[in-house]
Amino acid sequence: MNKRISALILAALAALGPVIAADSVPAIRKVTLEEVLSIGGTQDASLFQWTGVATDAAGNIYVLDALDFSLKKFGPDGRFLKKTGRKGQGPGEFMAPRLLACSGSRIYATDQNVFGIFEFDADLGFIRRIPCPALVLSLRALGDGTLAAAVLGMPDPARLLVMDGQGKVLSEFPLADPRDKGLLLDSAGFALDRQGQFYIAYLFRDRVEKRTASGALLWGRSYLGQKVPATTDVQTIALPRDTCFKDVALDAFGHVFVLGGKLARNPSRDVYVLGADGAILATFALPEPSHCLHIDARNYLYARANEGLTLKKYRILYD
Amino acid sequence: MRAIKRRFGKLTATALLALILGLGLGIGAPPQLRASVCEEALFRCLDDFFNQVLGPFGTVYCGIGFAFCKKYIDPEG
Repeated sequence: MNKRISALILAALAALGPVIAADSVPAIRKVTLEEVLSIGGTQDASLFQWTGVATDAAGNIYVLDALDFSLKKFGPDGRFLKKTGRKGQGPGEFMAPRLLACSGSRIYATDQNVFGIFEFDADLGFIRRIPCPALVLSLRALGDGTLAAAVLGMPDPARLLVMDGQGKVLSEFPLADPRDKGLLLDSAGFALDRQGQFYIAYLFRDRVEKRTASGALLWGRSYLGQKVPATTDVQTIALPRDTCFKDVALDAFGHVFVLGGKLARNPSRDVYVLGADGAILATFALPEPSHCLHIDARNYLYARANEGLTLKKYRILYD
Repeated sequence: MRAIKRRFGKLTATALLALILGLGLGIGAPPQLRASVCEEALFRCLDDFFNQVLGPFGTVYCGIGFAFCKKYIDPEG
């Protein structure tokens, strides 16, 4: 990637919102959560099985609901505001809604089996489908309509793409480790820091990496004690068996929050808080298993509860 | 079996037989029968005629479903 594209990514990141001053970064020994909001539950029909979550600068919460085939908008207080979408393959319709990202007044959503990214406005009006050359595994909006997506390849390895708002690929790099032979071992989630560097957490490999904007490896670490990815040979396919890391997000101070999968001591609950160099600063457990983590610009953490019936919003407390 | 029936009654003997058969099936079952919900979904997807015709693209289509299933749905993760 040339300097111009790196500058583009940096400019896009700068547009994301307020940054907490670097000199106010807390020294972490312990992280705890304080619940501040709960949306949905067994007694109401707000959510059925939410998958993707995103927030805008005003604190509005956008949620994809897989069982309701819809995109929903809630106010900062958790009040239901609006819903769009239904089961189908037409504009603004979903078959398997999965990932969500927000930048400015634009909401970006993916459907599991669609080669593209759906763009909505803040009132949930469908705008268009941005073409994408492969199926999307993980998605982030960088600002100014620039998107980053981890996409699945076959037989080529998974790739991390940076695209403009028209779907034109500005840069890309592969995610695979050539030593790993097996289906889906390159599946990963990722987050970006304000320097445009990527933190990549692999779904089926005990590995978290930090890479430059051009994909050069800065460091790669294991945290779960898994030396070789666990696979099961079925029908001549080496199938990954256990999830290692389900998601990664950055807080306002640049700490890296990595959500452990099945191999974590508390499956799908343990969160490893890393420094920029990959050192573990703290570990905490979510109250309930979650499939993803989202941290908004105000430093609130969002996670799943009740197997997707409930979305919880937490204040992050640092000791 | 007759001795068990005489001693414990017909109902208990039937329950015992069912238990033994059940255990036997469980122990001897191939991996596919004990696979999690995501593995089963993947097998069905890969066995689908259209996905077989699609070749590598069919495998990608099924594979991404498996990855999301493991992440979002499988309670065992």
